[in-house]
Amino acid sequence: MLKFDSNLFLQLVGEEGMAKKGEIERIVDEISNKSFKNIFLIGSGGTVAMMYPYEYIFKSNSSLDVHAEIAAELIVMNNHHLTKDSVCIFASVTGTTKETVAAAEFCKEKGATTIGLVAIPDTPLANAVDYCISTGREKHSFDTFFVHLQLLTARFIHNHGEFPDYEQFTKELALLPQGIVQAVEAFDPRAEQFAIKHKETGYHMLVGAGNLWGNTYSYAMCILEEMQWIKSKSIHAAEFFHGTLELVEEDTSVILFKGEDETRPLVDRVERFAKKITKELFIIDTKDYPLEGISEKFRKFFSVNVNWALTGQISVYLERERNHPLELRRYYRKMEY
Amino acid sequence: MGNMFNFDRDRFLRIQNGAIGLKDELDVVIDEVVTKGIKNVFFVGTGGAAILMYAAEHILKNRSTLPAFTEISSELMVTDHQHLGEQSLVILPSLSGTTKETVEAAKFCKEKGATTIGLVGHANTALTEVTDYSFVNFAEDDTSCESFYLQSFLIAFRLMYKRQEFPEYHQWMEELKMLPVALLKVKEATENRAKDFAKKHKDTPYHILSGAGIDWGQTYYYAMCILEEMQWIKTRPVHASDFFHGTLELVEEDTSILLLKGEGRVRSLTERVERFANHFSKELTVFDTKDYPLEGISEPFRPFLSPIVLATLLERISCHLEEVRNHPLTTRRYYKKVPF
Repeated sequence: MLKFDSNLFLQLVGEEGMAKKGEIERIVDEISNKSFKNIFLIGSGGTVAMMYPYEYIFKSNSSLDVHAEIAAELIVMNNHHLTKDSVCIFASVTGTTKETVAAAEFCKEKGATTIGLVAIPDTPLANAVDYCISTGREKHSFDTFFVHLQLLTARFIHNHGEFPDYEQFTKELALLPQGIVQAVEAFDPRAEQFAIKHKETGYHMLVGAGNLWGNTYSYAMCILEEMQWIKSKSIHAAEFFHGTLELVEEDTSVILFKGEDETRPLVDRVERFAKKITKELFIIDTKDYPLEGISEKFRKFFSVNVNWALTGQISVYLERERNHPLELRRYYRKMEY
Repeated sequence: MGNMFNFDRDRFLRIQNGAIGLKDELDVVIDEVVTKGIKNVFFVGTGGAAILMYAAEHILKNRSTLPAFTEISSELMVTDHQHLGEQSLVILPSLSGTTKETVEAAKFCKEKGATTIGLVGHANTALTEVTDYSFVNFAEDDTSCESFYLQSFLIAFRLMYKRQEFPEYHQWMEELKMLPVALLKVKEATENRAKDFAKKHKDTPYHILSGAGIDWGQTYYYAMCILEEMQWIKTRPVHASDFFHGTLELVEEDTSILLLKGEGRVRSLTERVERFANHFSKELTVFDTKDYPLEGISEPFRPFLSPIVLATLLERISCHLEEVRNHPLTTRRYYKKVPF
């Protein structure tokens, strides 16, 4: 496997990631006990996209009031739901994303309770929030953020009396990294073939829904556009048929992110269409991977983690095949604008 | 009065005045619903119709404590949205009144006990049969954006008024009546720019569109429902904030960027994109609602109207693109042609 160290993954995401379980439970219990009115999930670019699956999980499993918001917009607007009784959750790998840090300070001024997910402690975001949960390292920090967000989300819903299987869920979550490693092993050759075949492809259409909409949006924007400078269009499976479908031709690259939640039929529909029209359909389906120890009922929650790890392999092969380092930027953080 | 290509002024005024003319009937229904008691409002639609509701959701979110959700019909039906229930008010726009998923969603919401309102272009259609209330205002693709925005605004502001969250309501509603004529002037003032844009970009295969806040929906709509669906041109609609978290890296000297600027508090976000794009692309086109006087509308209300102003001026571009690209806005490769 290119640039994927299974042991390191198991250590960082599995052991060290899950080691935060107790701390996360204490934080959530403390907040649940003093009561709150709603939850805000706040980020910028990839980190707000990372929140979308959890907004979806809340909406489809809980009557808790939840809002996912773009940091920069939140601070200039006057969201009437954001008050001292709000719980605001932020994420930033570096802990320095300007808009996200500003939003954390903004929410604190409103008197809200703030939780920050960062890779490195003692960074501006870490210092601005009431509770900081750090992964300790940048490597695999998104994979660990997903685990931490799952623990946070499940605990909040559990404390609200709507997630009775919480203990079983967290036990199985601990087994997930192992299942992901096996999935990555199985997927790796496909990732390589994709990258070889598509090294010159100038445009990709990415389609997803439900839990995986955030990943779909994020992979197009933060990987293909930002890190490979390839034009890409993410489109929600439920919207695909209302515009974007008209662009599909025989040679249009369409990438489907398939998960296992309630929205799967929406993606199936796009699949049926795309199969008829394009020869360049590539499907990444979490259902193809056994994920040992994970019960059927929880699999839908874990599509986000599995998909993220699989698509990461596409990125490193694209980097190699296109001779375009993932770190290369023309503009971002290179100048003021 | 300037000459506008392929445009019927009277028809436009009739349609937009028709939307505003629904006010009294809508008020009766909204007042009744509010008196009965509601917990939240859902805007539920398919494709463009749902996207056009973002503006009303945005207004409610930032002005009212009433929770508002915009959901895609087909997704709403498969997910188990925990906030949808007996005390939900559900607004379902569908121009044809026959959009399959939206008709199904209306039934679904009714089964959940919600109160449903259909907004349609044609009476006695499938949607009007299944909703508790329906409101009809004839419009077509070239006029439906403004019509739907206006109807959603009538609903959103009435809700806030009844909840004592918008004291300027009566003045605002009086001024809104002036809008259709003001919009005509927006179209006239844009005509030449629209024509030039279409001519210049008739072969441009890809546009980045950016906008924010209340205008984000219109940005997304124009990219997906007009440029992609009706002109088969690739687009990348990106929120002005997210622009800096990925998409910016695509920008080269000849990358076309269409920036839609409104007037509210999010203006600073689009201004940032403008500064960047001015520097790195020679193909930046800015449409700024501030450039249009909107006679009869007072300053504090202008920020609400930017998505409508943008929709109205963008229609002029579509009209010219259709002509210079020799690609009718009604041509589809697949939609309603290929079963899927």
